[in-house]
Amino acid sequence: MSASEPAAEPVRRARRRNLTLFAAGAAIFAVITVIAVRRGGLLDLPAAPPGVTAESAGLANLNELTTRGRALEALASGQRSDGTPADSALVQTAAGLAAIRRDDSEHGLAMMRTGLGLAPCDLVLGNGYRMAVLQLRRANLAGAARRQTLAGQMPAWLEHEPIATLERLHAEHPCRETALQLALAWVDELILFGALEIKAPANVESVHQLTELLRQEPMYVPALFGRGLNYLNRPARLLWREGIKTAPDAASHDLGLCVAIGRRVGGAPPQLVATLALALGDAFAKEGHPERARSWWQIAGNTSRDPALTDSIRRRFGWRDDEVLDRLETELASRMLDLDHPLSDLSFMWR
Amino acid sequence: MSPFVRVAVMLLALTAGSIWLRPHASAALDPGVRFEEIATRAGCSHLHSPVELSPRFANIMPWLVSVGAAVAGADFDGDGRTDFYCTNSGRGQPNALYRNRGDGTFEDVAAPAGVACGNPEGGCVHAVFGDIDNDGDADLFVAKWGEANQLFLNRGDGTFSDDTGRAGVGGWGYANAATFVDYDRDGWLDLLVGNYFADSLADASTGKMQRSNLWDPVTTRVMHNTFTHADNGGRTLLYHNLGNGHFTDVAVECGLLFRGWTLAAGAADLNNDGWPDLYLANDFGPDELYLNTGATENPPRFERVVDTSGHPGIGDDWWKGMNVDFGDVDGNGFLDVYVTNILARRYKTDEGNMLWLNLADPKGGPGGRSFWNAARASGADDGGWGWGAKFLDANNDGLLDIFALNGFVSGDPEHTYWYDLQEMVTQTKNNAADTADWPPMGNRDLSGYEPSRLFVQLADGEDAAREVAGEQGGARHVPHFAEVAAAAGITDVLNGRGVAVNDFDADGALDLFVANQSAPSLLYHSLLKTGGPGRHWLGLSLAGRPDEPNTVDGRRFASTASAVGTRVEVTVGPRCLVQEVSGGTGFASQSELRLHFGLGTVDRPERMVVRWPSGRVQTFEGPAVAACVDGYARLVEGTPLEPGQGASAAAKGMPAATRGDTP
Repeated sequence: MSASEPAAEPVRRARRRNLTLFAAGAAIFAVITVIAVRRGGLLDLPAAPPGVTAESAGLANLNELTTRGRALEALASGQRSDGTPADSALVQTAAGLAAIRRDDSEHGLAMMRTGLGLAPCDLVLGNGYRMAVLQLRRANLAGAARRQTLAGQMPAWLEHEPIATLERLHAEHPCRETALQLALAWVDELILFGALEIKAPANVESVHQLTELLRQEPMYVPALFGRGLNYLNRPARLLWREGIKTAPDAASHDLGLCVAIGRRVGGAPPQLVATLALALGDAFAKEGHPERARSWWQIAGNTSRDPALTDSIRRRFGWRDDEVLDRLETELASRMLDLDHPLSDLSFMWR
Repeated sequence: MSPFVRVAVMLLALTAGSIWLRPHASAALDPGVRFEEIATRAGCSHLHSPVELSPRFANIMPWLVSVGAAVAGADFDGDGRTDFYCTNSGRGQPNALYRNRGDGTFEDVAAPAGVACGNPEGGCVHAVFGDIDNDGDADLFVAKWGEANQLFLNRGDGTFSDDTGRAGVGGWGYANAATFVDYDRDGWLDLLVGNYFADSLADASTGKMQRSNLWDPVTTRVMHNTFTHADNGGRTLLYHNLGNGHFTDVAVECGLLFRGWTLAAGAADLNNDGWPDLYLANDFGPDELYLNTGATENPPRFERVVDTSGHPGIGDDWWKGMNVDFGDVDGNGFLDVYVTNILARRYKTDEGNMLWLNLADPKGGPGGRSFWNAARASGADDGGWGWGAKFLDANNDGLLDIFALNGFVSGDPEHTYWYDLQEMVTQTKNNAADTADWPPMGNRDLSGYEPSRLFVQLADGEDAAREVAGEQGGARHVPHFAEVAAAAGITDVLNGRGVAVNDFDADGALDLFVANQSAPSLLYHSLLKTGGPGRHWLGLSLAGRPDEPNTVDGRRFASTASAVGTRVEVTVGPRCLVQEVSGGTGFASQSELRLHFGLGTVDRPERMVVRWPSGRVQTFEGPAVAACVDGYARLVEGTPLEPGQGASAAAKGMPAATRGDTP
């Protein structure tokens, strides 16, 4: 026995202790992981496509969109903009919006159309036009309902808007923004009219157009989000052959891709990230994965402290597994009825 | 601790545990409602006589002639009060049409009204009222065995004319089920008819198909080919109303191909897509659920629900469906389904009635719905040998209850046919299809003398959080019922067949008109004191505007004058009560068209949403709805609510100006 042997014993003991502690820690970690996975589920996020950039994703100029959105609102409200030079398209569109707010609706809408014609691929102006039409059509339907008339009335100048205008615009100026607006105009239809006989074909038409757009721009997040929402908002109870053609996880695929691309390119505001995460959670819930859904709802809650979002997440966490699908359908239906904040309003991207 | 103390503690714990675990003693439960039987006093006691078939079936005659007593409730004369039509199945025996005099009594006016029938060849077994020409009054369809079905047009003066030939609905066969439904939402009532026996059979020697006349049979092989998967029953007919007085059968085009032994039919929107779906309750085989594809296909057809394992029907339904009714019993906004079945524990038959809760289907099944049988967990399964059954709020507490009839053949109680039946079913040498192979029934009893069931939903069912394990795992929330028929004064042991839930005296308390097989009908008058605290209610009489169609995405929809298929949602605190106007659902039964909502303690419902088949939606809130509480309101499509007008002559159909457009 050498002199160093007695000294080595405490070292071995210490090593054993450390090993035991490590093993115990690893075991605890494994247990916690298993419990977490069982309770929360896996995130199941698809990989972002290689080569995706902020530009190809349509997320490159969010700050510019924010500035332009504020300028449109400021000009329409009769305020001075923040020094950003206002082009004639913006001025014309804002003037139209202001006229509509003064109840000079037909004239105002014509002015907005003129403004949009000057910058057909402007996402902010196109969205502004669609939203203005949506609110006008909504007001007409509400008026008809209040009058207890048997048929909903729409004046001729509003009857075919915004689809007719956006179809013409896209034919004359084909770009991804006009294609997106046209596809979302079909979503506006299904938001306004509750009948499934309108919702179903409008949903199909919107999905077809977005699919066509994504064939050319496969990483364009607004289109992916729009199509994902279309899939998500399809009533599960609807009996249609179109449904058979759609993959059961179509909604979570599109919305998951949005989140993955957003994470890759970065720069998205928390509200946008939270909205995407919430929608992805909803998609998983609808596809029969409530545990995975709760993971994403939790992520949405951690990302943004917006009170409305927090409330909606709290409601979702109150749902039992056996009722989550029905409750989600009701929640989505009521969300769709919130015409003060229409589901198809793209301004959440730059607000 | 001394052994004595230990034993004492154990005993105490056991006693406390057993008390805690012991289920509610329903016999001691206050049903919250009492009924008195008044048929004789009220002049509407109708003695039913059964059909009499060929003596070649003598060995099982009691079995074969065990149905035929039916009742349909409707206001045929437009005075705002519910009248009743009762069938009679024996040769030369007339049906009865009990006109409600409004003073608590009835008079039989079937003969002067022209609807007595009398069974010259076959036998009447069912009847349903429906306004097929949209003129604002109820026409009458009578379903028969061995005789052409009949359609009587209401002339509007208290009499009817036989319009069967012109309409083209005089199918010959063994119609046991019928319901009016506007399946394509064109504003005209269509007619679904389910048959029991096949109308034609192959001649044993020649193989040639010929009419199967049970009064003069060519063969005794007339029964079901198996006890569990029979597919040799009668055809299903779907008569499409062309709007010009004529109907055409579109069953095949619409996908209604299965030949089950149909006992009951019903139509309601089960997947909340705005289109009526169909349910056929079949004997000896799977029930049929058909979802309407109208939301996405024009013209609509029906898609039969078959689960991913290839199992047809609504679920594992034990193959003996006698009745169907729809009601949102668990308050999730989707109509649940109640199907009666057979339960005779003494004879090891413990299947029982089925309460199918309508749930979301995470597997993405047809229509996105799945159905889970909660009958046993909820306490609504033991209905004996069940027949007609209906959802209703008997005590106006805002929770749907269930009234279920039962009893098959009452014979010598000392001698049962159950053993013979079981031996036959389990012996492969026997052939169920041939009546000659069946053991003689004689005077043996087969689940006779059974008391009817009133399953009252318990108010604490929700608080008690009755979570039970579902078949696929995961907890399910189910309602909780207690059987209280005897305590509520329903004590007869006649063999009940059809029940019309009604409010013949318009006091807001639902009454029960019961048709009994080979026995007098009964009228159970509710003694519930309505309108007081905890017993508020709201009644609604609806009239659609077929003359005002609505165009949705290029498709033209309209409601029928009788508003069949209209869905009403009443918001009461955190709950939403959902009901749909039915064109006659269930076995040998049709309840009145008016809707009745029990409101419990709530005297100011927040909101009422009315979804018309035309696609129009009317929403009423606050005072407009509150004014309707504790009375019958009237609502004509597209106009304001009219409180207090739903139980008067004014409640009939459309405004007078729009009537008279009979083709």
